[in-house]
Amino acid sequence: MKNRIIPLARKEILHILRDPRSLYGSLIMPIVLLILFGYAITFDIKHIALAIIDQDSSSLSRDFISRVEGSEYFDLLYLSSSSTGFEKLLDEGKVKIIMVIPKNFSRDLSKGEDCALQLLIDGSNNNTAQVALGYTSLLVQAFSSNIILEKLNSKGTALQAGVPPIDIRPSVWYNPDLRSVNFIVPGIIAVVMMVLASISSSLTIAREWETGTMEQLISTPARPFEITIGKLLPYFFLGFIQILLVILVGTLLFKVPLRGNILFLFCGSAVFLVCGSGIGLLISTITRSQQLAYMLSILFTLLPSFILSGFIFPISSMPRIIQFFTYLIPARYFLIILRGIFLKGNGIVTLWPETLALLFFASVIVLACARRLRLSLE
Amino acid sequence: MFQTIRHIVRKEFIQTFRDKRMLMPIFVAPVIQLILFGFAVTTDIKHISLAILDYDRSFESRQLTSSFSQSKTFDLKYFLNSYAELEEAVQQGKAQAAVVIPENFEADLKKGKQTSLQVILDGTDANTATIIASYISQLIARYSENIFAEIRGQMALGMVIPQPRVWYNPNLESSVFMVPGVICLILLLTTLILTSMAITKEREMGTLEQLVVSPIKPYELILGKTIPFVLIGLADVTLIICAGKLIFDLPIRGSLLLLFGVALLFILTTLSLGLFLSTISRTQQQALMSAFFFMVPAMLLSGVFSPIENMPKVAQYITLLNPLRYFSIAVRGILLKGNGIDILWPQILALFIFGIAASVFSSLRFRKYLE
Amino acid sequence: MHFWPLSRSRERMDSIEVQSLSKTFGRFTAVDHISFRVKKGEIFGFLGPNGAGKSTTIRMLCGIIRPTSGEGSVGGFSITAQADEIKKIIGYMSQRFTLYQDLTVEENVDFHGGIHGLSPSSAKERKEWVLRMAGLEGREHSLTRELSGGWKQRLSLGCAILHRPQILFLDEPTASVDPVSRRDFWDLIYQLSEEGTTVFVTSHYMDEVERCHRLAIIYSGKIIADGSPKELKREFTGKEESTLEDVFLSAIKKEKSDEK
Repeated sequence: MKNRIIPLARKEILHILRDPRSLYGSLIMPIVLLILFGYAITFDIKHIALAIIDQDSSSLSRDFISRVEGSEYFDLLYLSSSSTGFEKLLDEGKVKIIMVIPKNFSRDLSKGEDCALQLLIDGSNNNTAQVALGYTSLLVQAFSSNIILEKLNSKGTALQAGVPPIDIRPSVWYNPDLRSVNFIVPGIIAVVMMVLASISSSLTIAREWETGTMEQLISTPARPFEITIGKLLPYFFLGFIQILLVILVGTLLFKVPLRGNILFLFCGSAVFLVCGSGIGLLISTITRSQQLAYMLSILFTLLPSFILSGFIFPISSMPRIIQFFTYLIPARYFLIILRGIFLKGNGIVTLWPETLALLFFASVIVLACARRLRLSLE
Repeated sequence: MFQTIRHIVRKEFIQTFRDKRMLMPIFVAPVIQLILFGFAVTTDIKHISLAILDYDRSFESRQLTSSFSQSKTFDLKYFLNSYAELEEAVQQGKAQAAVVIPENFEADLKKGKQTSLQVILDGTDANTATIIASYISQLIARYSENIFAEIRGQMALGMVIPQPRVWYNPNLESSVFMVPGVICLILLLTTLILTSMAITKEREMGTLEQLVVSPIKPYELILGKTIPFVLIGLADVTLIICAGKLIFDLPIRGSLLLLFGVALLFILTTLSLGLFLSTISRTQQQALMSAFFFMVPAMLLSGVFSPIENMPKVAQYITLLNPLRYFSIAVRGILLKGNGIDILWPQILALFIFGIAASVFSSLRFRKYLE
Repeated sequence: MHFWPLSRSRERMDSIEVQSLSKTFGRFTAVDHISFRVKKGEIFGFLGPNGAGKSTTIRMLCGIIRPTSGEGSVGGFSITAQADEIKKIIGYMSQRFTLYQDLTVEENVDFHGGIHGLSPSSAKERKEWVLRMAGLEGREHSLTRELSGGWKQRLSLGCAILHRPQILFLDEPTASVDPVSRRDFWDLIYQLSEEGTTVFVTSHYMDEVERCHRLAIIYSGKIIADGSPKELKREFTGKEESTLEDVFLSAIKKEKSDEK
């Protein structure tokens, strides 16, 4: 029996090698994603385009404006004392936020009355909008605190340099420089692995059906199980090569730390690859069309692992229903394992629940494959 | 001429939908994607699990703690007793952030001395960590305000109060941001993948040769093969807009006609690209890989997920070459801001240029390839 | 599921025996209760227009699809219960599907050898034989897709008989092949038959099927004629000089009038 799997696997390897574009594509793609996600995509927002309408033109308002300008939160692009035509700036997308300093700004503040700072915010990107709001509150509070401090100093009151009274000392663990790459690299492994494994598996089988060579295979003594294993084995190893590549490039080029056990990492990856290939295999039992197989793979692997695994978007922020749904996604568990190993140096002692979950998924998928394969080889 | 084209179009439709299951990815999948993106994709931070180590246990420290627990952003889950417990909680991923309230918290505040709060952030998720830090800062700042209130009252000092008015998306829903993005993505996905695979499939099956030796002219073949996917693409756009309106109450403030017009221009580019890819691919798998290779960077560097303004300068320049960038700006502009041609003409022009260039180039290539 | 009673000796006179075999796809009946026998060493032709059920029948005999009803045996093994045994003793060739286009000549041969479990020494020997037979010596490293129709056909045949099967199934083997190659091909078939291999071949080329020892004509899933070319000519047209095409047409006419 083993003798038949080897010629099948060898044939598959030849197919892979004869299609260099797909081969290099599957090796280069993870790296490209790494670069894109690590450097180009950031939700860390600074230098937000800002316009200020200063209807007060007092030294206090100018003080405020220079604070705003001096921070890296905003880029002051337009400053004027009249409000005509300013709303067009939002429509045209030239600025994301407009601050309006009212006429009685300094007068009200000096009298001890509160003063409203009008903000017009472009809400189309809600994330940017919220961040802009947050920054504004911080700036405003710092400004207000400063007024108080100056007043106190001018009155000679002894409120020591305890303004603000509460000082925050943040300390960032595992990733002190807050580099995105550090948290992208582990994620890329999970997402890319899942997608490539499932797409390759489903396509390679669908292709033999579509071209008709599957029938020839069936007429030989080769069993369905042997045909399947023979076809998937090379892709399994390809998956490992991809992981290795990402780890090498990630740790050597992008200096991502790898603090945990590499053996554990590979074992976890093996189980995860089984999940991915299994899903691809299941898809190939549903359809023999490459087009459909591809689209189903994307639907059932790329989207869930990309969006619902916690790769970019925090699961805790999602609606409860969707959070429950994420428990069904293998990538979610693998991501925790990966990040744990890379950045926290976690081992199986900490990660046993996720490991167990992955093993569970893998077994369910393998069983489903075994059943469906028997039924549908017609 | 139109006869021929019509027949090819018909054949293409029949072939694509022969397998009823094709309906799934073409029509059902976009809606699923819409739901996923609309609900799940949010960079909004909520329910961050937080741990507090309170060494002071005073009235003031309990006040501070309760302001954390009342905040929607944080889920105050752990009241720790020791630093070791804190380390464990963060290491195991139970808490994403931890706040340490020092021993003399209340005493220092009363004395008017500055006190420090140690905030520990799990930096594994760098983006979230930054945002968490910012939220904590804001929360502390608000808390400080209350302390100031007294002093201010005594000294009769006014405070600046921000009064925000949010345009286009008053409730700051992330779906409002994402749904137009989904429209762009779906359109790109369906038109590009379907086109390149469909043509390559004929090549794989050998039926393309038959078409070539028939009296069909190359441009008839091209039109015939691409028109069905234009229609499918537009149908998808309609579907998502309707679903978006129904499920997410997507605002439609501008002209839908303009939207479809811009979509057509965009489709021109993607179809041409699909055509081009089919000329350089021998198998469907190759076509796929190539499409993927183009699509993924295009999607990520388009402003659909993350703002272009925040990308490194190099990346920003690259986006200028990306038709998806112009399309997504146009779609968001039309739907959310009610923009018209007067504002969006740069994007429309860019899409027009891309579309014409791409279609001329790939048609010529396809022609050559058929011979 | 029926068990086909096995005789004590594997050396049956009938290599292939089929009784009331049927296959329906949904509401469409592709093969309608057909019965026939093929003797060992015979070249048996299965003639019929496209869509008559030829490929479906071959697929059932090879164990690629399961019959809806009826029984059959190939080499003494039941096609419903012992398909795995059958696969070991048969060779299957279809012009389009036997070879992998992106593999070289040698790689295709090696693959088929491996799949059929040939020992390394016999695999080597058979490979050389096949390459010689197909005239592809020196072209081991050409990609299969670069070969022309005639070469591909010979290579396909070679791969199908690599493991010296008792029974050879050929599905439209000479489609799109030039007449010279076709004749060479049939010479090979005769050689195999003389060596004791049973050959079951489907075709819609009337002139070719003349060369079979016996043949059956299938039309709309039913067998409407069965016998040696001479017998059939006598039966349907009464003239020995008539072609099989005449036989075919008159058999169909008879069938249609029988239906009324």
